This record gives sequence, C-alpha cells and structure tokens, in this order.
Amino acid sequence: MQRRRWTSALAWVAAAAPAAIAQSNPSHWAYQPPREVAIPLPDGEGWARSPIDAFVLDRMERDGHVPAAEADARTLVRRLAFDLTGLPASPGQVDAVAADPTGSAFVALVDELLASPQFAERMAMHWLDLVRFADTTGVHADNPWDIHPYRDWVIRAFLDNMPFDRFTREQLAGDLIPDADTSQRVAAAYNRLNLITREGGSQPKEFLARYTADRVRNLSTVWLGSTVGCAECHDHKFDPIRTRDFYRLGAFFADIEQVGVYSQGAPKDRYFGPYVKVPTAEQERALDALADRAAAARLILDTQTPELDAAQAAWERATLAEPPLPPRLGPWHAAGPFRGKSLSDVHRQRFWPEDGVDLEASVDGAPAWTPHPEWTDGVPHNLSGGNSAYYLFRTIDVVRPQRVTLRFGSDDAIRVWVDGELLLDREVQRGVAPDQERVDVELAPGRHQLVAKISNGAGGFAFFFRSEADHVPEDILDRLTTAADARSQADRDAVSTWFRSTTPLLEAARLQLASLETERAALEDQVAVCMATVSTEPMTTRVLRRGDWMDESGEVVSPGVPAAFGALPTTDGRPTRLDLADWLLADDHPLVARVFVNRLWRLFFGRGIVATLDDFGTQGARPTHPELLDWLARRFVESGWDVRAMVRLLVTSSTYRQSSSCSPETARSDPYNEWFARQARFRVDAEVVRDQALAVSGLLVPELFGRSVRPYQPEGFYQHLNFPRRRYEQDAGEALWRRSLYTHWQRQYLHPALAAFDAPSREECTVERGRSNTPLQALVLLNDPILVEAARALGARAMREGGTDVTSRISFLFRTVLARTPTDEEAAVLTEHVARLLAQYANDRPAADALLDVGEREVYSDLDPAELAAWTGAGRVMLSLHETLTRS
Amino acid sequence: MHDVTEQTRRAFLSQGIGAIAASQLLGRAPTGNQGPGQAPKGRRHAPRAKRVIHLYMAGGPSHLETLDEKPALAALDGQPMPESFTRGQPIAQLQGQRLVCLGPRFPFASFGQSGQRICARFPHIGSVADEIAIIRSMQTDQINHDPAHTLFNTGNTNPGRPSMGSWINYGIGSECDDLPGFVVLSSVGRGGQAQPIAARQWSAGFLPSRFQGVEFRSKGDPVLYVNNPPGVTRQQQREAVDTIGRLNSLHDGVVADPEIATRIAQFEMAFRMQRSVPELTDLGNEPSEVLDLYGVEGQDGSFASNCLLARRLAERGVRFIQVYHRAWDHHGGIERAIGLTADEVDRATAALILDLKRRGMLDDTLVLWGGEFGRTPMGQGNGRDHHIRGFSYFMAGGGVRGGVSHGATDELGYRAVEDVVHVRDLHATILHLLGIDYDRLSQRFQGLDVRLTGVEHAEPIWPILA
Repeated sequence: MQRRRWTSALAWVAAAAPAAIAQSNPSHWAYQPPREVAIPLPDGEGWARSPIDAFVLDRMERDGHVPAAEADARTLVRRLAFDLTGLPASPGQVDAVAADPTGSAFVALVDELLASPQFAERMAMHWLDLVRFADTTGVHADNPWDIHPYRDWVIRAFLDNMPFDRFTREQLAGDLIPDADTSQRVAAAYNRLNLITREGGSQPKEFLARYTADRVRNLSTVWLGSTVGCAECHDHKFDPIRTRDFYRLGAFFADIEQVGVYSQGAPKDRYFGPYVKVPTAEQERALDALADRAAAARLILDTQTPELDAAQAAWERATLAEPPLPPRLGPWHAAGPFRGKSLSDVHRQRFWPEDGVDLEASVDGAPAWTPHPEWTDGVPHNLSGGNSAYYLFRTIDVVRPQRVTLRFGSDDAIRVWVDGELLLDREVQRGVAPDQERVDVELAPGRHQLVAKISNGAGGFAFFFRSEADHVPEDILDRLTTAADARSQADRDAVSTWFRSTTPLLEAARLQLASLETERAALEDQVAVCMATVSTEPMTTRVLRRGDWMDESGEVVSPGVPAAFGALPTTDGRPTRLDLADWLLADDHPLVARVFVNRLWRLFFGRGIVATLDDFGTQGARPTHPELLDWLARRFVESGWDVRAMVRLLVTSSTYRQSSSCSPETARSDPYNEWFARQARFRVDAEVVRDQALAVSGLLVPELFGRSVRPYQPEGFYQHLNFPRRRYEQDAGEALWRRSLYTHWQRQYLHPALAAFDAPSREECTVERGRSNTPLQALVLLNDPILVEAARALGARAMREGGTDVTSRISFLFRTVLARTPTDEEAAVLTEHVARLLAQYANDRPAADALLDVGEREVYSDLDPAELAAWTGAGRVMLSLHETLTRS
Repeated sequence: MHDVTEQTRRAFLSQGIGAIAASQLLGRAPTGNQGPGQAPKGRRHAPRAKRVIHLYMAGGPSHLETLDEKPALAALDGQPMPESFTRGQPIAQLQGQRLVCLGPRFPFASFGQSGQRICARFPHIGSVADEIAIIRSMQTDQINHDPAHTLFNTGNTNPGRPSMGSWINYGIGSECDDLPGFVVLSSVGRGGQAQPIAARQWSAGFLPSRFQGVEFRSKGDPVLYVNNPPGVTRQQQREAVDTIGRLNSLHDGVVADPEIATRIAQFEMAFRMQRSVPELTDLGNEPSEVLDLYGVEGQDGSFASNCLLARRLAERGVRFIQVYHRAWDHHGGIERAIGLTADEVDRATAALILDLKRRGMLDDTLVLWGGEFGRTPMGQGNGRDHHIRGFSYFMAGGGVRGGVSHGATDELGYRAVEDVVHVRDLHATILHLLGIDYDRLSQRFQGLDVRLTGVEHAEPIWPILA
C-alpha cells in the first residue's frame, strides 16, 4: 500500500498537537459524570413552572434576555400534537385547552397524547433514524430483508414506556439475556441493521471489517454521542479514543453469527443469516390448536389395537412372500459449466445430448462427467459460474414396478429427464430450497437414467435432491424374518410402527394428519420472521493498521471500552455485549444519559443544549446550559430511565410553552436561539407532511404494526436496481393510507416524496435531519397522487361537513387543517380560487372526472363532480400552505 | 448539519429576505457567509471550466480495449500471469483461480496530429484525439461496483457523504433558475450486465438537499412529480401556485418568517421547472444534422440521446451533468461486448465534444470519460474481472490540454507505475479547473472538516492543464 501523506493544509491536523490533547482531554466536560447541581433561583417571578425553567431563566437573566410570551392555545396545542404524535391537533383539542384558563387542560392533553399509540409511533420515527432501520440491505442489489418485527418492537417499547436502560440492553444484547424470549431476540436485531453485501466478487474479510466498523460507528453515535469512527484508521486527533479502542469496541460484536458476503444460493431461511420467528398471539393460538389436533391424530396412529394386530399378521405374511425393496440410486455425476449469454439462453440451449448419457464422453479431450459421490441427498449442493448450466446424472435401479417421487430444489432454472423424456421444465430465477419441484415416475424393473440440468443467471448456483418411494426398509425386513414370538420389544415396536404408517386401515387418520401438517405449514409461512442476532464462537478481532483489512499484523484485541473511560469490571472470560450494555448504563456514565436527553431536547426545542448532537467531544459545541443538561441527565437516570416522564417534564415547562415569535432585535442578538428565550419554528418531518394530509382528509388508517407497506410511487423508480430487476408492487386497499413510518424503506431508492422532505436513506445513523425548502418539495405537494387524493377527500369533507355555502366550507377547511378560522382576506383569496375552478370544471366534466380519479379511494358518487373538483383544488392549496407544514 | 443551518441563517441575516430566497433556489448562488458582491465561498481563483459533463462508463471499462495499448500482453495471451504482478493483491471474482493472460481483443491505431494511440474499435473518439488528454495511470481503492462508485462520487466509501456534483454546486452555486444545478442521466447497453446504481451516488449527503442531483428519466415523468395531476391545466396550476403564494404572503404578514419567502420562491421555481423540463427533454426541435451527428432520432433513453440532452443542459447553465452508461461489466465475452458498447458510446461521445466545440462551449465545459475502475489483464474465461491498480480516463475541454497523455501502467497493464493518479487527484483536478480550492471546500461533519478529496494528499494533474 502506498504510504499516505497527510496534507499539511488541513487545519484540524495543524491546529494542535494531538498527543497533548489526548492526554489532557479526559478532563473535558463530557467525560466527567453529570454533576449534582443546585436548582437556581432566578429573579423573574411566576414564570418558572419547573426546574427546567429556573435553569433557562437564570441563564437568560445573565445576558439580559427575557422569555417570550406564552403561545396562544391554538399554536401551543398544534405544536404539542406535532411534537408528541407527528399528527395535527384536532380542533376539539384546541378548544378544550383554550377554554381552560387554569392550564390543567393542557397538562391533561399532554398525558392523553403521551399515552397514545401515536406517541409511540412518533418516538419510533426518531429512533429508527438513529439505528438506520430500513427494509433493504443497502449495498449493490439492495435486496429486501425481513426486519419489520424490530420496528414493531421499538414502537411497542415506547408504547409500554419501556425504561431506556432495558431498551438499550435488549437491543444490544437481548439474545444473551438468560432465557431470552422472542421479544428480546427481536430487539437484538438491532445488531443486524448494518449494511450488508451480496455482490459477487466482494472480499469477505473486507466486508466483515466494514460490518464491525459500521456497528461501532452506530453504537458510539447513538449512545456515546462521540466520533469514535475517526479512530478506525488512526488515533482520534482530539478525543481520547485510540485506534485500539475502536477495535476493542468492535470485538464486542465479534460473536454475532454472520458472513462477509451473503449468498443468493442460501436457503430462504438463511438468506441473510439467522432468523427468529415472530408469531402474533393469534397465530400462536392457532398453531397450538393445530398441534393439539395433530397430537390426537398421532395418538390414533400410534395405538395398536387387536384389529390392527390381525391385519398386521396378514401383512407380514404377504411381505415375507414378496419383499418390496427401495430403488437404488447411483452416485451423481456432473458435467459443466456450459456458458451462455443469459439464464434463459443457457436454460434453453442444448449443450449436450440430453436424452442419453455416455459417462465416457469428453469435452476437448477431458472427461466431461465428474463423479460426485459426496453429494448426499437432502441437502443443497453448490455449483459455480454465471450464465451457465450443469448437467447432473445418476442411475436408478428398481427390482419391481415402483412409483418413485423425485424432489428437487434449484438456483435458478431446472430441467429433468428420466430415460430421455423431459418431465420438468421450469425457467425461474430463485434461490435454492428443499422440495421446490416434484416429479413422480412409475418405473419398470431395471436401470433408469435420471438427468437434471441446473441453469444459473447471476449470483448463487445450487441444487437440492431427494427421493421417496413405496417400499419396506431393509431393517424392517430384517426384523420381519425373525419369528413373531422371538422378536424383542424393540423389534415388535419397529415393525408395528412401520405397519401402522402404511396400512390402509389408518388411511383416514394419516390423511387428517397430513392435512393438519399442510395447514400448519401454511400458517407457519404467514408467520413473520425477523433477522436475528445469534451468538457464536467470536471471530478474531485485530487492530487494522490504517484501517487496512489486508494488514494482518495488528494486535489481536479482546472486547473492551475506550481506555480513557476506565475499564470493565473484571469478569470470568470474555466480556460480552451484556457487559457493554452494563457499562453504558452505569449510573455515572458521563455520556449516555446526557446524549439521550440532549436529543430529546432538540425534538421539542429545535436545537440541542449541545448543538452538535453527535459530537460531545472536544471539537463539538459546548453546552449552552451545562447545569441544565446535567440536571436532566441525572433526573433521567434517577427516574429509572423513564422516557415518558422526561418528555412530560420537557413539554409541560414554561420554556416549552413560549411563543416562537420574536422581535427583530432578539433575532439579531440571539440568531440561533441559544438561550431558548423563544420556541423554535421548523418544517414538519417528511412522514408528517403525508400523515397530516391523510389525517385531515380522513384517509388515515391508524392501524399499528405489521409488514412494511408500499403506497403510490412513480412508475419505474426502481429502474436502476438489478439482481433481480425490481418492479414496485404497489399495495391495494388500506395499506395505501397507513402512516408513513410503515412505508417500505428502500435504502438506495427511498420513496421520492419522503426523500424530498429530507427523510434519510438510513444507510448511516442520522441524529438530525435536514430541514430544507426546495422546489422538489413544491412538486411533491402539487403533484404527488397521495396529496391529490387527500385533497379530494378533504374537499369532500368540506362539502359534507362544512355546511352549504362557500364561506362556511372555507372556515371548515381552515379549522380542520390549521385549527383556526381564516381572516376575511384569506377567505376572500380562497373563495376566488374555488369560484374560478368551479366555473372551469362545470364546463369541462372530463377534466373534473380525471382529477377525481386520482387515487384508489372510490369516487364520492353523491357529490357533484365539478363542485368536488373545485373543492379538491381548495384542498390542494390548504395542504400546500407553509403554515400547514410548519410547527411553530 | 448545524453549521449549514447556521450559515444559512447568517446569510439571511446579512443579506435580507430577498437574498436568501434566491440562494435557496436549487442551490443557485452560493451559501457561504459572504456578503453580496463578494466571490462565492468555494471559488478561490479564476475558473477554467464553468461546468462539467461526466460521461460515466459504469461497470468498469477495460482500459486494455479502449485507451491503454499493451502489445506485451498480447504476446502472453493464454500464458500464466506472472505471479510477481498479482501476489497479495485483492482480486474480485477470480479469487482462488488460475490466472491466465488474456491478450487485448482489438488493435490500436494512431489518431490525429498528436498520434494518440487509441483502440481502433473507437474511431470516433479517435477522431477527436487532438482534443482529449488521456490518463493511463488511474488507481482506485475499491474493487466492487457499489463501493467503487461511492468512492468515485464522494471520495469515501461510507455512505452519507456528498457527491461531486453536490460539492460543486455547494461551492459555486448554479447558473440557471429553472433547472437543478446537478442533473443525472442514465442508460443501459446491450453488452455486459447492467449493474445496479444507487441513488446514493448523486446524494447531497450531509449537505442541504437542494444540492442533491436530480435524475432526468427517459420514461415516465422526466423529473419525478414534474407533471400536473390529471385534470389540472397549466393555467389552473398557475392559479394554484398564485393562491398558495398569496395565502403564504398573508401569513407572512402575521408571523414574519423568512422561510415563507423561500417557500413562495420554491413554488415559483417548481412551476418554471414544469415548463422547462419537458421543453428541455424534447429533442424534436434539434436540427436533423445535429441528430445525425449524435446518431439519434429523438429522445429514446439511449446513451447517445443523453449526450445530446447533456449538451442542452450545459447550454442552460446546469453545473454538473452526469451521464451514466450501465454497460461495461464485461466478465465474459469481452470481445463481443466491447463491440456492442463501442457502437453505443463511440460516436455520441465524439459528437458531444465536437458539438460543444463548434458552439464555443468546449473551452469552459470539462468533459470526463471513464468508469469506476478498469479490468484485469488476466482473463476471466473470455472476459475480464474488476481491476483497481491501473485503468484509464480521458478528459477534454474546460482548461485541459488536447492531444496529450499522462501516466502509464506496467507492460501488462496491471499496475499504474508512472505518474499515478488516484481518484482523489481527479477530484482535485476537477475542482481546480472550476476555480475551487479543493483543500478549502469543506464542511464540518461529525467532528471532521470533510472535503471531497478526503484527508490524504491530493493534487491536480498539472501536466495536462492548459
């Protein structure tokens, strides 16, 4: 590797002597445990409702700032609803708070919203950005994986107000908790959210190093608010994080069962490593009931009766007279790979005489058929080569006419011949799994030739085979030859068990059991699965010098925490992810609680007390209110890591209730709102743009949990995805109107409307989304079908619920969308717009019909189309207003 | 993130509402903290190029069948690859296999007055040999498509970093007010597999999303959501935008929120895009002589029609235009595949350079041609595997000397041995030609001043600069 030169122009290298800093900065504020601080007594009287306010007001007074006035009830309730639920406030909620001068209605509303499932969904949206939750692998082909139960676990955790320490421990190490239940194992899927590759030709060691680094970056950003990622290639320039620390943190994750490059050829249940099944309570009950019924059927099959004894004696005599033997299969032989242009080409091309096999045949002088006695039945075997085919051959010998069932799996396409006759032709692109295909043949006594051709496009290349035939196994025949009264108990049991499994007398019970089994399999198939973290023998973790995965000269390290933060308590054996969680969750950990409450603060006040949410190191921002931050952190830990209580504390404060308006002078003297002498004003998040439109129009389907959904998306948006090519399968029905956090999160091609409003791809941890204001957002607001459909539903609501005249309908729209009445001027502007549209659509019925046809929700046939089209136009305006999109 | 917000806010405070509104338009005008009339933040010296067209040969073209002639490799065709070349090197799909030399599949020829040696299968590119500078000593760090593209576009393999086009628009803004400053076009070919491309490749990363590349598509809406809903006329859309603007203004009168002016301006910009994008993508008004030059009949989603579209975008002031052709992943049957791909790109590439030149635009338009890596001198059957230790690029216009070449690989085309050019040096060259000090165009992210050229030393390719 070329020796690297560090550019001298880089201020961050030149500015300081790193070694000195690394020595000195353990005294950095963020590396000291939060101090116990006294709550100040500011001069201003009557304003402070809580200790938060005392800290904030005290700081304001030092610089001569004064708090902004309290926001009016409508602004406050709208803000609260957006902040706590990600949905707009209802007019009724505003009215209740406005009507109560004591303020207790506001607090009651806080409690109501905190207890709602929508609060859990809103908090989950935030957490899912942090842990980079998405529905796809993120690299190269960006294939979908099974992960949604983890998302549901997060929602449920916030719904149950799971304490943050347990929330942390179960995600990092739920699988290691003794007797871990399904929920804890799902939580541990956190460790599987890193990007993974399946790209052919990738270097497994390189990607294993990447996966480790990805996990360390996420852990250290989410829990430590620290830029540990800098230490992947060199000691941190400013913070006390050494390269060795980076890899010791990585070693905590070395036990996770994984491979560097995932294989397309892996069976479905191992496609992206291990999975855990996650049945719903209902599915679990149904499975239990099926198991009970199967046990009853099995009891009948297992019970020997006198009637069966008699039948068995007759059967034994007949069998001894003419023993039925199983077919004898020769070893597999393989010829290939034969290359072609594409999967289809190699599947269809005849490379070889397909109807007769000559084991002596050769290609270019080399024997073509290679024997593979090691290819046992019942497990998949790998082949290799892109766009190529293999022929597989073996003999089948039978001694009497026999029906034989051949079962195959193939990646990808397959053809099967028996004695030269083509019996199966399946051109398909898939991964291999047992029993994907079934061929039944009636074989005459003698030798038969079985030829299978397996054709592959790209990626994995494999086949599976096993066979079944009616026969009596040799061990049973052996036992039969012993006279009935000379047999041991084991012999008798074996013979009668076999007999019962084949006798026509028990056919009904067997059929019932088979049908129960089919039912169970179908139900199992519906049960959600989730990628799981499974602990295995830890792989070796080395310090990679300069982050170079090819350099194997680095020190082998064991799991450990950064040396500047002390050491783990000594334990027997290798520290685990549970030890890591314990270290993070120690009462006096300097970072974890501070980092978490600081992010919560940003959610409700628009900026953090430490502005750099992801950098509490020496290069990050200093806290504007260090005492407040420490007080909140300690309070959080002392409360038992009670997230809901912390949120309640924040949003009931006077600081929270301030107006977001400020004078130009204040804007000049405190442009970044560092002193929190007013509330913040910002655009709602991407999901909220859509969810709000669904909510006010009445389209929203408020169902919780479940697989990710696929709402409307522009045609061809996935055109650059390949392996396999992707077609977006839009959902139908209610799935179209679910909250946006359930939208299928394709890392490489995130839904364009979400992306336009700064939703992150979730390839990396996102602590803070952008809040941009772009023309692409205007295009979404004006033209995205879901917003047009919501505008139609909103227009229909105005016509049905807003009275009969234009003015009252416009009032209805303002009240429904903005929770206020319009000014006369506003009403006039919108009235004019509606009138113009009405005139236009009255003369152009086809245009009205076309507009009303947008979206899957049925047309409102009771409403006049021209009028509804005009009110749809009004709805489009309302949903696009800056005020509609702004939390203030 | 916070720094960007702060700068925006600071810019607003120093420039007033009108200024910030203009600066928010799809990255038009700079975002830095300079006052009106000052040079943009990112620009430190006189630019030679105003815009960039990157003809991105995605999949990894074989340098051995395009720009790098290797007679010694031909002599070793079918012989084992000398182990001295390959020991300890990362290898993609040929891992663990016997390595055999595959001689170049096509002859090379001398072209132009400069006599540049170019594969004879690319005669049109040969015809502009005197306009181009060939770099034969490229190296990258990443051997698979997805990470190699990410490195090529962002200078880093971790996701979340801004791409070249975003950095450039962030640094010096855009010059048009009805189109984005960073446009992506894409086509697939008949040879080689169409490797996937992630939208990450044109992401603005941690920069504000208005600097993100916008994909212009050849099927469906040319830009997502650019067409009116059914049953809404352009006039009605105009009225809707007006009504939204009037209501937003009324609200601004109450709350005095500077973001409202931006919001209004963005709706106007969106409305203009709704007209300008369909006009732009309609090639129907191009003279037949121009269509013939590129070898197209109209907008058909081909690389050739995208080249013509790229010229139209460049004319309208788009700063960074990236034209992907996803056709160069030639693991097998490379002879046939190169032939097919040459038919798709050779003529149109030359046409673009000639067309820009006769319009006087080549002087300030930098054209780049190449992929995310090269291909092995060793055969993979009758194809070639991915290769990162040596590959080729060419550049034209925008302050680059024509008719020259730079750097060389060893005699088998395995490793760049003379005047090695890393991807970050190419980045430095591009930024330098645009008048940007590549060491200073940076943004603080997670404790680091991140720059496109990264933390290691990068240097423009001085000898090829005019």
